[in-house]
Amino acid sequence: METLKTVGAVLPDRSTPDAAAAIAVPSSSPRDWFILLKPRVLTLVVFTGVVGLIVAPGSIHPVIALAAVLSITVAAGAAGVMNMWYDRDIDALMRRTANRPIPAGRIAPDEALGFGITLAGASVIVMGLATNLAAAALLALSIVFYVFVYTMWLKRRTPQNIVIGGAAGAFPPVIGWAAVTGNVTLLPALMFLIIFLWTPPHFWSLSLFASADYARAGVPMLPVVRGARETRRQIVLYTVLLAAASLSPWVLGVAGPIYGLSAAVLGGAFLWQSWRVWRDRQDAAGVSLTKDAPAKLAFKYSLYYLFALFTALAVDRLVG
Amino acid sequence: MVRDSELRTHLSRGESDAIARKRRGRNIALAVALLAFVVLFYAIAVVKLAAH
Repeated sequence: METLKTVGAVLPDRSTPDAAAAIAVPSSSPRDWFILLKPRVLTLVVFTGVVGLIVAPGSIHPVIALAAVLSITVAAGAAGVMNMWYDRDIDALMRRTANRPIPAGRIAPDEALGFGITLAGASVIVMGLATNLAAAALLALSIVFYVFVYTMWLKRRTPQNIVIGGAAGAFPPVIGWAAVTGNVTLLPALMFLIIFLWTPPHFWSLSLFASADYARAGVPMLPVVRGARETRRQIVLYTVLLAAASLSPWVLGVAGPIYGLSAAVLGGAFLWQSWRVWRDRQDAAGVSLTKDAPAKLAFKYSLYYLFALFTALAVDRLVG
Repeated sequence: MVRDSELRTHLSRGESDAIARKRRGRNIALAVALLAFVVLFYAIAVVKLAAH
């Protein structure tokens, strides 16, 4: 950052994030490039993708499995890079994202875009060569969906942005499955549905206590557009749908009792968390009087929930 | 985008060297990534050929 400050002092054109970034190119560190990949999101993507590989029938050579997981990871990272490239203007306005490498001026936008496109192309090519066309096509579709449908089209236009956009995050287990089998059947479709229904309560719990940031950036998240009360109601609604959908692999006979029991317990706990969010002490306008403590807990729990649920599915398949 | 020559006219020697070091580091990282890519392709090819 020393270089950035010095260069900024000599060439003070920092009127836009792009201008600042152009000056600051040399100050980026390897960590900045790593942050562009959204490593926190990657954890969940990689994990669910690996579970897709594990639960799929048939076998896969470890090297091919490694290449598939690497492709899923790099593709998700590439989508994250392109998301940060496109959203650099609103990221600069939000406290949570203002220090990201592009709005902070440490990486130039065009370099980030080049980085993202290169990674996306490489990931799809490796997936296609290592596994099969179906997995590569699904991987490409997931990137296109996240970048064009969610980031560029929905995010700034509708409070349902993360509901539909959540489909992008639901692809990894399906891709993992397709990498082994070359097709998509009932179980991967149900895994897709589970993550799709998990996304709204997960993100809306976050947006309840980060709505000021979204409002400042003009992002029409549900609490900003429809208020906190309606958001809490929809969190409960989607959690009920999620709890029911999470039982479907067991009910339909594509998962065993270890998974079924785990899904019931985990779903029940998620319902309890969302109920607490709904019943949070609030004023007449629906503003939390507890600093959104239940929403913060529900957000944390939602992360553990997905890890635990997919772990149970993998264990069920390995043991059963 | 600020050109390299333009940056250098505004920077001290120390700053210019720091930028050169950073760029060298990035080039090395790129070389390592390309090498990893080659190794990965080779490994995939070996596994695929062995399977046939």
